[in-house]
Amino acid sequence: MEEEKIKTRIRFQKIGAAAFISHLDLMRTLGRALSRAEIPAAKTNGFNPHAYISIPCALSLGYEGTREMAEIGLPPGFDPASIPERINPVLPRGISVTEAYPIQRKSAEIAFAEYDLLLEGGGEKGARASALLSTRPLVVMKKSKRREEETDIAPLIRRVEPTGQGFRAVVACSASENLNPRLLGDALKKLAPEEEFRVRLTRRGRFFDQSGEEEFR
Amino acid sequence: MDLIEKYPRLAEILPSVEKPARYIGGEYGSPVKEEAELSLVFCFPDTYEIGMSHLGMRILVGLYNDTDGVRCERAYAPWVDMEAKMRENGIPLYSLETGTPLRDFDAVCFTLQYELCYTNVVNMLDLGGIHPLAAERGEDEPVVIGGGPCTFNAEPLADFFDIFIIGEGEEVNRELALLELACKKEGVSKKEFLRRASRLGGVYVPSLYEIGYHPDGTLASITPRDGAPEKVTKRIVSDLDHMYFPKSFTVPTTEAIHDRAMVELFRGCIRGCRFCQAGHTWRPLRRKKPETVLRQAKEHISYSGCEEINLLSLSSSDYRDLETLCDELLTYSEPKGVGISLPSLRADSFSVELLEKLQRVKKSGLTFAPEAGSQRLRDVINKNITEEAILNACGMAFAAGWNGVKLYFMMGLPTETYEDLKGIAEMSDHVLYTWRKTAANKNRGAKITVSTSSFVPKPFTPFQWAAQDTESMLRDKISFLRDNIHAKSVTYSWHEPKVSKLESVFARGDRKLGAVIYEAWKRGCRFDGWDEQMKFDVWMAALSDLSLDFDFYATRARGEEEILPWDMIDVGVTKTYLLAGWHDALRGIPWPDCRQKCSNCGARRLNNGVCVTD
Repeated sequence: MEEEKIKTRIRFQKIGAAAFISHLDLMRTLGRALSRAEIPAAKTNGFNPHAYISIPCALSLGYEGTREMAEIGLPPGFDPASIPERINPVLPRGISVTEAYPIQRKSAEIAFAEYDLLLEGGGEKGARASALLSTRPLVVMKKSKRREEETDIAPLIRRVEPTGQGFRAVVACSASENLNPRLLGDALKKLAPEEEFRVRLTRRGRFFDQSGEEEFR
Repeated sequence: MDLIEKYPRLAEILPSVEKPARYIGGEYGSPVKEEAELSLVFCFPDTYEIGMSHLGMRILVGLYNDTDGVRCERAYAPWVDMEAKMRENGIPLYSLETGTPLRDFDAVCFTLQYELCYTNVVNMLDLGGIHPLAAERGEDEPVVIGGGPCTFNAEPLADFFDIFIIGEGEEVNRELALLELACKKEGVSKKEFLRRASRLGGVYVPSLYEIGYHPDGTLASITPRDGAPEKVTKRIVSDLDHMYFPKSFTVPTTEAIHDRAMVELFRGCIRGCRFCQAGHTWRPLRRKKPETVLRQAKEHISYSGCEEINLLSLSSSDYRDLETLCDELLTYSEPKGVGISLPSLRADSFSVELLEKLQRVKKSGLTFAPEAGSQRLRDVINKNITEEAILNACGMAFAAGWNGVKLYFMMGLPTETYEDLKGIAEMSDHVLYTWRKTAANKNRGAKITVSTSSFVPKPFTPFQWAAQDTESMLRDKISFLRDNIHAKSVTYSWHEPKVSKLESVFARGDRKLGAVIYEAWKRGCRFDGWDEQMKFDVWMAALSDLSLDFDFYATRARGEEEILPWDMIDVGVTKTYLLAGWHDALRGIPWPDCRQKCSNCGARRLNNGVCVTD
């Protein structure tokens, strides 16, 4: 990108069956939709040029996201506010852009993300899960590429609160520290195997900065 | 509608299967049509990634949805892991648009592109809640229709289908749908609908034909019943410029094998390679005007946002206006970063200038198909190309900066000897030598790939009477080539002979094979064209349990007087012409291409005597 480009953040939803569109497929899908919508996004200069898109926090396959982020470069003078109405008619079912704005803060400042876990059994189960997940330490088996080891995930959990359908957890989401919410389900199974916690759906919502309180936009 | 809302169990199943995005639908351009009186589902009996790469399905799904009173959705074969989960959870095979089970459509249409997808057809019907056997299906079950190249000999599938469409679908598919719609309104029986369909032209209703056999298993008679025509003549579209072509198509959300926009240049082929079914069955020649190609290409690029467009034909470099067309298309596509790709380039008419221009947007490899290693054998198969032309083309490309080439050959061709095979190894050495002489940039080294597939005799080719090599002959030939290709920069790869053997059985098979397909499916055969799924032993056992002989179908040379299982089909090219080609093949005599001299193949009578060779 040699010419001047305005780095722009696009916020989008990925819900329903679209949760099963992988990270890589999502990048290509967004790239093509930009092209269909004739949004002049900057291109890569590689072997096979395509729209330059960066998705700072990849969402695990199968999770919904309501405030996901993607970043593109736009020429000066292009109004990012026009992006949703241009692109939404040309996106696949389940994906829609809610807003687009020039980037003020770098995505490296993202420290936490909020996940809603919907449980079978609803609110009651959610209250019980929130209590269990406040236990410290919270040791689960964490699988990495090579090995499986016991890890205390409590330091990665900022807060947990019950909701009508389950619970909401704010957990680490950065390059250095990241918690896959699947481990919250694993922890519940380990702490109270007889209670049969079953996660129906995991949905990512807002992002937070280091303070853990202020929403990152 | 979101498919997880319709089938909540999917939320639990999808995380555990490979590439779950194949099963979620909702792609951009996915046809969503309100309730119509006639509902169809168009099925591709292989994976989503392959089906979404297919231009014919794009066109025909568009065509149906463009027809008043008709709506058409899509379905693909679930991979084995997904099938198991669907059966476990009682989820039927559903359409990707509305999640409707296959059994709830008025008609289920399959495109039959490949012989080894037949068990997938049976499986998709069963998983969709439809009895696979046509004779067992009730009045309230959908009509099952097949089209595509395999219908030129659809006999092995006759037990499973009500109707086969022979030839190009842009006109007859609509006529057939409208007939079904009329019959539905009128409330006539399925039997009566089939009887009327058989009169449309290009529609083959297998249940209306009775097949008699000699004691040796060959055909004794083909008898049409109930007024069905003695010969079903292939349908073609005369005017490709005014033929239906969709303005939009479904763009996959997960990667397809050929994930790009596609537009045809022309139909038919002037070459007449004697092994090639498409080269004979797509005749007579008809072309799209460059302005039509250009308009459609622009529409599809802008609609889809794809990064690449493919200009399709059986032999791109035979399209007269190729260079000017590409120039004009590039002025539109290059600023958008959209590349143009041209499959099927011939080494003797290839232009390095054109390829270099195309490379400005998107780099691509170079592929030539000499098909045989010696001039003698290339004359037998009528692949009118010389080694000199191939080396010349490679030399120009290497000088222009390419550092590799893929060379495709066939083994097991009629009259082939080890001398001919040695020619393959020698040609690869000569290509390497050419690279040493001409390459502009030698730093990265040469990368020459030689691939062989095993020859499969196909109906409606001069080689339809030929014997196929046995598996052990093919294996010996493969090891011979492995031993004779020495250079480090030449890589040799080959197709699994078992796959080609089974292809051969079905390519020229008869109706008796329906029972074998059904039995093999019951015993777990699926995705037989996939090396890792193919259960060759199960097929062998199914054949022998049904007292059928593998070699009768695969290895046996057909007698010239023999009634062939596909003799009720007329593809335009006459049997006399094919037989003359077969005789000249055995004598090593090549024929001129259609531009040099018309060989009177017979196909132009399908187009009022018109065959446009230019």
